[in-house]
Amino acid sequence: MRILVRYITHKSKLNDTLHEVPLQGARLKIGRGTDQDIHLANLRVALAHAELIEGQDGKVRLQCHLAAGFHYNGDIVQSAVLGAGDRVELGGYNLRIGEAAGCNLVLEIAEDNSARGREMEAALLKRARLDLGAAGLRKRPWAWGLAAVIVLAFLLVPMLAATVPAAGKWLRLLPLLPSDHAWQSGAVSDAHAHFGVNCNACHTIAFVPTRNGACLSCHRNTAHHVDNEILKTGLFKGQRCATCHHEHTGKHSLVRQDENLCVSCHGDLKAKRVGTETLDVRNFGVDHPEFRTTLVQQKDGVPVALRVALSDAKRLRETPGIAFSHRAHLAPAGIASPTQGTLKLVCADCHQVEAGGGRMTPVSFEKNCHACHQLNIPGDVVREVPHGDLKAALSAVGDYFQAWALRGGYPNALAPLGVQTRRVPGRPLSAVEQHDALSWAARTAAMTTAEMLAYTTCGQCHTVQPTAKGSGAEAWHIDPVRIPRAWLPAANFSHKQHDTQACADCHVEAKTSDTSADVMLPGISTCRTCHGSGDASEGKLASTCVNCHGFHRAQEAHLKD
Amino acid sequence: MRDEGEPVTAFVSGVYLSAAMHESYINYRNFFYLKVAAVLCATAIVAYALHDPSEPPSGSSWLGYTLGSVGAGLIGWLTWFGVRKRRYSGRPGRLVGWLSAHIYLGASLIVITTLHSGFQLGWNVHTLAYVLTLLVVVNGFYGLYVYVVYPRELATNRAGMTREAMIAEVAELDRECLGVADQVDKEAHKVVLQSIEETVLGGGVLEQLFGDPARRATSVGITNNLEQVRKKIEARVARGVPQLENLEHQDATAISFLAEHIIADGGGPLRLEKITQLFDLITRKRVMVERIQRDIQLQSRLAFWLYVHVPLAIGLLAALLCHVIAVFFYW
Repeated sequence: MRILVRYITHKSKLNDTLHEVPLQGARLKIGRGTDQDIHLANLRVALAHAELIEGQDGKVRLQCHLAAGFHYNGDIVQSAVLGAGDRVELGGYNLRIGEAAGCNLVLEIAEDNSARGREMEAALLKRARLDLGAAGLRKRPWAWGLAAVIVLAFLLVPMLAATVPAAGKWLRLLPLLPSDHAWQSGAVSDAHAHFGVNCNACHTIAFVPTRNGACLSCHRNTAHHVDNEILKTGLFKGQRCATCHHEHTGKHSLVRQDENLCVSCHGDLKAKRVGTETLDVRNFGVDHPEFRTTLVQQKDGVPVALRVALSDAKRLRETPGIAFSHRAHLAPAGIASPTQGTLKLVCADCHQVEAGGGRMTPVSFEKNCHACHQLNIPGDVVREVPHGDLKAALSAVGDYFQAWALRGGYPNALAPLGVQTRRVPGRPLSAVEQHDALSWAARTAAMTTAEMLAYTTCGQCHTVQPTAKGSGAEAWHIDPVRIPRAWLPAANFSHKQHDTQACADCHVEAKTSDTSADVMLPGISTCRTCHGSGDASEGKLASTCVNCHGFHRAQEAHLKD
Repeated sequence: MRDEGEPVTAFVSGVYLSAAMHESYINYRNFFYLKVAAVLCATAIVAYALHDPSEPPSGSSWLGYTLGSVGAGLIGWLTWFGVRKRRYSGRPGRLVGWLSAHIYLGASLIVITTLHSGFQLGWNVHTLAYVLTLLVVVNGFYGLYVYVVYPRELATNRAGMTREAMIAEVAELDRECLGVADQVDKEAHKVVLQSIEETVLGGGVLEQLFGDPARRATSVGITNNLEQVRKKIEARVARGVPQLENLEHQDATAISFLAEHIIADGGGPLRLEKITQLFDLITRKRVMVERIQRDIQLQSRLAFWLYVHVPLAIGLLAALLCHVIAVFFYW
């Protein structure tokens, strides 16, 4: 089909322009899209609005693609066969159908610019509120309003409470009023809970980290936490109380128990402090050095303290200054006591936990040995010498024999006759007899003490040597007994807390040790059968540094000083 | 084989993406910012898992401060999007890239801020900032959802027309109605004019968002008038005319049927034709108005989340400022 399209544009009431376009095709598309054959620019026209279709009989049919349809001679239809004189209204355009030679139809297309239509539209739009903005919804007032409320309630008012004590007092007291409580990130620890609402007890100066002075206003008697010597290394430079004691992390204690507190330095202390003898440690479970015990050994007659690892079997020999065989005393068949028959001893007969439950009470002669080890003067089953005081012991022996010399009747044929003979009242000794008796007493006392010291009594346990000079106590040297109060002085150990274990579980060699030179401390591997690292990663008891160790050795000086 | 001119569409998360011609904010640079956000979150989670703060986790460990700084930086940058999107020639980068980054990095804030909090929450400004962050992000997710769902509904509803064209169509129908009604009688013209003046497109915020487009498309005047007609018919039915079903249903057939009965009350064939035409026009207008109301509703639902997003985001900026100052005020 051939169609002649006449586009009529109203420029003014008296001036229309005409633009003719001849078209040809079986189907001609009408719409706003650029691909349309008959292009209608008005927004009311759909991109593909309608189509002209040539029928079998050569007649042209207008088919609308929209449900709305179009006006055909006043009727609303979806489809219509066009003929000369027909009027079609479609998407704001008036189409007049005409005839001309050489084409099926003439299509006069004019935009409907009737003033009435636009008035209706203007009135419609005037009543309409087509979007949220038109309905009065705004972003900025809400945004600024919310921001202002937040800044006021959570910044300005809390600042007022923080800086003006009178305002702070009331703002913090009254519920629902904003105050610096809104800044509290976490619960205050139990120890500091009594400060209650008063933030300024600790936070004294704005924008300055909590200062030590605030802590020391209460903790004035707290001792220094580290030695001055360690302070000099600079490792603690710039540290505040709050560096380690963190508040607002919950109700628990402020004293840290974790490994990191120590490992942050001790994990690589060698690098931080060149020349240190302290060994590096990272955790108890797998990265802790073997325990080191402090042994006192004689070096050129001078006692020196040695730190010896429990794994160092060669150097791990003790010189306690006393002979003792655990094996002999723990003999399964028992031991023959001179006073109590056969005794079967167990560990606890000598080793008792002291009151605090930690260490063992020191073994003492009087309490633990004397029942069997009597200190009789030879030849006398009753009289004993005192223990622990050589002078007193020597005096006791001297006095003993002088008493015999004075009293007489000493049953020994080797003694002077005047000593053997019982005294008769009213008959004093002659001067010669007196001299003989006293010199016998002195001589016998010296012999007896030498025998007791070196062989029969003291020397059985103690190391006794003559000094070859002086007399009396000066003539003898007894090695002092040095049994440590703490074998592992850098660690705290509680025997009481381990009373579920048998003694021999840890002190394995006790029943077989023949000499007091043996050190029968359990090494770290024994502890590790139960104890692991702080995170319990080995599936054992979680044990952090502070379970055994204290935080450095503090001086007695107070922080306040 | 695919024809060169034919766009290939892929259905991804409810969005039709054209692989041949379209790169959206979802798949921008092959999901580049999704990957960036994923790496950021994974890094933060791994660091949090490995980090041993030795104390209950909080924002004041070194990792806490780091995550806090990253989060604050992100929030600042994300908010800057509001400025960037107004700069049409802005640099650096295309706006679609900024939007893609805005969505994915914004989503990563959930992880970053949660880990920064160390799950230490309470009634304080710190948790306020955290909750506002989550609200803004969740609201952003909702915005993403509406941008996936509503545009298709909008397009379906418009059926190729623009809103301006639909409004012009309604105005045109109004004009025609008046013209036809004038030819019926004074009463019809009065009713139609009232109906036209009662037609309100859109409306208040709640009406736009939740109003029923179908109900709001029929004017009270017309409804009342039809009610009167219905009563007349009912009177006739009582006199022996077959029972009508579904009289309330205002479709074109029912209205035409009613019109015929009005004519039967006394009117010529011309009047019958005009009244039929009038009801046709009114029905068409009702359909068109319903579509416009539906269009307005979809548009307002499409836009509403942003009226929440922006104030919450600005509120979050304020809370973030308070949070940071408070932390260092009481250091």
